[in-house]
Amino acid sequence: MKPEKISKTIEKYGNDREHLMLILRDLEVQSGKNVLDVQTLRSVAEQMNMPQGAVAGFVGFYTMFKTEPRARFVIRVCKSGPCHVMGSTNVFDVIQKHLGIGIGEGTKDGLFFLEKCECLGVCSVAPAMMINYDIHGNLTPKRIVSILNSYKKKKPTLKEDCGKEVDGKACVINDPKQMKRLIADVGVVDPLKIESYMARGGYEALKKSLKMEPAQIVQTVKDSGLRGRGGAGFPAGVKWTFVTKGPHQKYVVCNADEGEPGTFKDRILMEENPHLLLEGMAVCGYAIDASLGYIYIRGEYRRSIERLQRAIDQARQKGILGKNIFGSKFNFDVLIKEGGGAYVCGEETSLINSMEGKRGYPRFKPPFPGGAGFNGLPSNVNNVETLMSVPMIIGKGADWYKAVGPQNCSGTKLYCLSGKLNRTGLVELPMGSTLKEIINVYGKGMAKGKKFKFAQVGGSAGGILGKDLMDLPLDIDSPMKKGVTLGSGVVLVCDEGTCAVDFLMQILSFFEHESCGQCVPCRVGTAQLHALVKKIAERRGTEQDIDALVEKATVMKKASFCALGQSPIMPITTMLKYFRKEFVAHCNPKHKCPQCDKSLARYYSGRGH
Amino acid sequence: MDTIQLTFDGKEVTGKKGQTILEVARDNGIDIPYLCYHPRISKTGACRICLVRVNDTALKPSCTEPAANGMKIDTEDEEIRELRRSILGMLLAEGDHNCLYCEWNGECELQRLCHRYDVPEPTGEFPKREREVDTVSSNGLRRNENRCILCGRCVKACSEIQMNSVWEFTGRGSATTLTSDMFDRIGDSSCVKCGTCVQLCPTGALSFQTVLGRGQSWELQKESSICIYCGVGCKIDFYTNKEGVLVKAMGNEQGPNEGHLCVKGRFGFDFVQSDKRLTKPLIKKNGKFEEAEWDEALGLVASKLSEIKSATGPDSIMAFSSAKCTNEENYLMQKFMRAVIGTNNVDHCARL
Amino acid sequence: MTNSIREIPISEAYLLIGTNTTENHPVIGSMLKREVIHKKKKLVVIDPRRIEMSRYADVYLQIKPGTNVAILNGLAHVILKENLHDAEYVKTRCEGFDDYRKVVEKYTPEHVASICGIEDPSLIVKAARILANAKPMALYYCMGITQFKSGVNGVKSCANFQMLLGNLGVAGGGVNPLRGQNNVQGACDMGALNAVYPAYQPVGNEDNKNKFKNAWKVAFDLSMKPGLTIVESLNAAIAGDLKALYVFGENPVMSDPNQHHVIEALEKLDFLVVQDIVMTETARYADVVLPGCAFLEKEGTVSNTERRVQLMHKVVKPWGESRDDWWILTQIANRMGVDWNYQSAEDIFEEIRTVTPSYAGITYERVEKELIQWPCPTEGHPGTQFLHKDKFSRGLGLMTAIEYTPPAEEVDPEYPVILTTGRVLEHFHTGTMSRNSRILDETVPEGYVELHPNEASNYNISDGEIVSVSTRRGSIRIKARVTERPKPNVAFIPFHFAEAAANKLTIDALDPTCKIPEFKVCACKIEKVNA
Repeated sequence: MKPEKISKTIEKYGNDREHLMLILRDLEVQSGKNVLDVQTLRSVAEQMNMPQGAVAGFVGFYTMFKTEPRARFVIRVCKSGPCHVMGSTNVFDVIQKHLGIGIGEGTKDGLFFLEKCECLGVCSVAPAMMINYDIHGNLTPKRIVSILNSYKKKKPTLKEDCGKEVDGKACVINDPKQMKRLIADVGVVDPLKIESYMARGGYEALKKSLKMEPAQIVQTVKDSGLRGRGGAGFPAGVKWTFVTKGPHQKYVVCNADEGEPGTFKDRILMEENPHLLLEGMAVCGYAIDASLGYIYIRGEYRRSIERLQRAIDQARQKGILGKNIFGSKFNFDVLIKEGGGAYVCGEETSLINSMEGKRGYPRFKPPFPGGAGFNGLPSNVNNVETLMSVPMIIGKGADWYKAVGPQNCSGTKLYCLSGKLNRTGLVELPMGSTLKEIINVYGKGMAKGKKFKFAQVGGSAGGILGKDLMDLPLDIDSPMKKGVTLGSGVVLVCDEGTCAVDFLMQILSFFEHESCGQCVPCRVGTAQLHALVKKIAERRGTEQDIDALVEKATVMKKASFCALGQSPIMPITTMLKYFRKEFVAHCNPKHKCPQCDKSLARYYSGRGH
Repeated sequence: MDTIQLTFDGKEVTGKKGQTILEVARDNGIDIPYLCYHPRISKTGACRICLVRVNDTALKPSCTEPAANGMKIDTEDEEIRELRRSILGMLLAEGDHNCLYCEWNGECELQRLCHRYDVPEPTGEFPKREREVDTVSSNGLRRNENRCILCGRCVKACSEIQMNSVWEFTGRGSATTLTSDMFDRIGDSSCVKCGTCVQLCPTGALSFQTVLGRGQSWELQKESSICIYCGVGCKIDFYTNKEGVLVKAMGNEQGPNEGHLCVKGRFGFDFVQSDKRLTKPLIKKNGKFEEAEWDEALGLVASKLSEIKSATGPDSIMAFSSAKCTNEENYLMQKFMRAVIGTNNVDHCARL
Repeated sequence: MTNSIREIPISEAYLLIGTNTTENHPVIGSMLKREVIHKKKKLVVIDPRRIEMSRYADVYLQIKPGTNVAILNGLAHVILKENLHDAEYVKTRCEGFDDYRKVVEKYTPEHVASICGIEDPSLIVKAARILANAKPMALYYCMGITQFKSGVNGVKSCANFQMLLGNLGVAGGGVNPLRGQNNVQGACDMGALNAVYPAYQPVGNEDNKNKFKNAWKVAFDLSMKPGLTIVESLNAAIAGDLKALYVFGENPVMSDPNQHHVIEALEKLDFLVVQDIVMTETARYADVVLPGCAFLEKEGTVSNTERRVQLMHKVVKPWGESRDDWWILTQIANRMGVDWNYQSAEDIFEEIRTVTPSYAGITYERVEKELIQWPCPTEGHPGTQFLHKDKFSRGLGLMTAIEYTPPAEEVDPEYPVILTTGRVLEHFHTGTMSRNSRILDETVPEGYVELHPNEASNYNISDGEIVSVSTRRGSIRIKARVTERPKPNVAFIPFHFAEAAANKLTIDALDPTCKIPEFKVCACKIEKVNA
């Protein structure tokens, strides 16, 4: 690429390293072949005064980037749990048949390039794929072909042009029995118009906050019992108090790197009610004395990015973001950072590294982000759902908020339903609803009259729940007592047709793919776990291999740097608790398993599998 | 400075506030094994070998965990031993660690720990990734990434000591590899061959071109000297083999260089044992040099200088002393000129 | 150095002037880079070439070679005008301020910019503010200050500047010359200079004469007449006054300015002894060549740029019949009628201690274990980390009013390009060592002339082409390297390469006080060879 073109792009975003992600994304789109060639990257390094290695390391870390030419359109087919269960192997079949390309291959005309990818966050309409930045769900062979044909005339852009089926509103389950708090305005508020939000009482909580003492706000959030909705469940108000006080710059960071397979709640919230997030962040900013907020959104969520950016622009215009908000002394602004395809960046310190234009390696703690986060300055990192809960807590009070849900995990929870149910999508229920209720009432029971086999709750890093746990309250603490976790609220339901070995293979291949590689137990462990389960799926395994899965995962649990490497133990042990027999059966070379066969044939062939 | 008291395996020790557990341990001569840690670079916390038990409960990486007053540390118990063995086993399985073919055999930190924890030979059941072997592109450095444990010391050696940031990780997870600059070979990169990455490498993944075929590590003798080049005065440990041949130069941490060297200090020593060295005194006869015995040469110099001194006076003789020679030799040269010849005609290249 | 290498992290800002630190003192260069890049310390770089350090600088001033005094006066001008100097320090610790102030007054940024060839005078203001507002600030310089006809003035200007800012005698400050050779500091300390005994005791002083006469048990009166410097001695040889020369590990044919002149001098001598490790360009002219030991074959002490005395050990056996230099000297001396009885380097060091007050407290045993920097007057003394702590050696620090004077040779229509010389990372001095080290020689096997693209286009020269570079003293053919490193109209040649010896071209104009040659600037012309 011409140096002038590159320098213009750099100028557009800024010369600092923290803008590297956006600069590279833009350049990749401009390339027309979805490529960042070495010459371009050298020029970027030189112009940004960065070491070349730092740029090489960055590009190599984020899977959305490639240094080899691809094609005008990159087709990324999701193979994470929900899509896999709903038949992503068939999607590959259809594409292969229609375009003649396998994974890691491109069509001769330079139009399409096929990749597999992890969760795209539209799990209720699985299986799904993304073509450049457009996401398509409910993929049937017919739809796939017509979608592909429609691209032949299109020009690549950085804008999303998704199908209706993946629209936020469309992914919410329409059932009056829900307790709608967070999603009360979804489908009601026009996400493109700030006036619409304000007409529904938007930004009133912020106004109210600005008349309170910051300490009062923190206390209210503490009193509400709000716990982090990203997965770890840490009390939000307490976390806010960890931010080092003083005259230095502090940041509110919103973790919108929703990557846990099966999770799509944050996407819907951001797409449908972006101002609520801005309001929550502003209240948090006022409470912790931060004048700047960042939203780190995964790069796949173009629509969230676009709608939030529009919301930010509107709020700035209205003076709701900027200086002296509502006539107070409080200044606050929000900026967007994007991800590049790395699950590990959902870990808050990896996220901060990524925001700084670095490889998304987790940092050791202490120091915690509250002491030294973005650019070494105190940063409070909260999940989207957490921050969006703040305005109503301020608006209606702590007591109102905690009137719902169990004592230690108050409020409502967004559950993401996917898999073999008659109805899938997002529901908001009091914290602690049971699997039985979720499946039967909101999922309308098992699809096609098949029998329930297991549910994966909490995403890939979550556990497997069998029939015995149907009545377990899905709050933050109860599942832990049973060796599982609520995590981000994923409920992926599988029926009797799902092979336990095949399912675990998808989980463990996910972990290998998403491990950052920094610490030894996780880097080597995830690869070895994947190799072991693949061996079993290939019917070459032994019972020792089954035990080895647990042993390796135990070492990882004890010794890994961050939660990613500590996670595989849960799906492995809970899966084996119910289905060890199935694993043993797979150790017989004569055992027949068409599902494993299909996964092996699909995901492990092609040039770039 | 605030001090803290803590116990390691029941032994009371004193540390400084702000130190990590590992730093306190090292200061007190307590052995905790590690691979990614190195005192000259920032902390990484990646190898997980240095996990210790804190207050009878949690396992913490001692290299990053702050030491606190009253902490009780167990540096090793059965569980920790097992974890270390497992992690080392993972490293052996991940790469190709055949000591038989490795020039760092005997000095390898991974090898030493695998011995210590009796790590079994890897079974070979796990697939290995082919990584880069590049022994030719640079005349100073060799690289065999199959021996790399991705500890990151080289990356930090280059970005925190040499400050050139040539090395960086690229790829991710099990596909992580090292790169120099923009996916270049090391010899084609901006590497200035200071060799600090090799000095810090805990395995044979990075090595010097000078060591192969010059004796095995345990046969080498080490002696320190001071670099002959610029005025920084880097202290260097020179290694020689059984034949007395110079093999390699390693920065000494006690010198003003704190272990760092530049390309000249690292590789600029073979002139000492070069064929171009003078072996015997030479006397020019009829316009040609002829080898002479010392006695003859020394006698000739003494008599000629005496002759000129008495003929045209001490001030008709001059000596150029040398900034490459020791204090003792310079002292002696000026003393010679002043006390034996009788002139102040002595100078050296301070100005050149 | 007035201060120490380990104080680099203490400094808040750095002024690098006339030092290509990352190539010539790479280990210190890396330490400076670490502070500037990782800890965001301030950096001002002044150099005619866009050296690596300039990339990290807050302000980089690309000056014409030979204009150091002007730029330092210019920085001081801004500081005084804006009242940013350390008035208390200047008042209590220095003298000569009024005269200094008066001279500096003339050096407005605009005036200095025109002398130095800086396009934007506001850069001088910016640099001055940065340097004045960070404390302590350390000044580092190298041969880019000293190797001029006005070398002494350059050094004094550096001292003036640091006194003005109160940065002398404080940790992390200082005037820090980076010594180019591993023991140039020690050679000076030991009195291998024409006018002083060890520890800089002048030869012209009666007491000193008697002191050394007694210490050395000399029968005759020691000469009180300062001797010749290297360049002067070569002139004396040509004039026929100097008959014999003993060259000890030096290579003047390569290292001294105006090579033709050096060779002429050597050929004129009655007797030339060269003691070295290889057959150098100089040794070819010798009557007797004596093989000395190389550094790894001997024991002895060396003193680094921060006055730190360190011990070298014998690492390998002497090559062939090569001998310790001290042994050779002792043998010659004893054949000339004295009775020296040194058995080891340590014996000599013990004698050094008795006549060198700054080394009196240093022993081999101590330097093995301790970090000792002279002055170290007694065995109980810890050595001195930085000089001039509470007062200067002369009492008050003398600020000297110094005017800028142009170099000896300025460009003219016949020789329109400024030539400057220096070293590269991989090589050292005349190449005796580095060019005989395989890896270094392979890495940079040949010399080159750096030319700015402007010159390249003016003379129609492309990168890699062989060109002719000539001055009034000689001419060489050398490969062109077209790069934006040098200032336009400045050519740079490293002087390590005998095949394309830069010192065939350089001028032997000397600083009137210290007699340093003006290696860093002369006028040359560039010509295409295959026109």
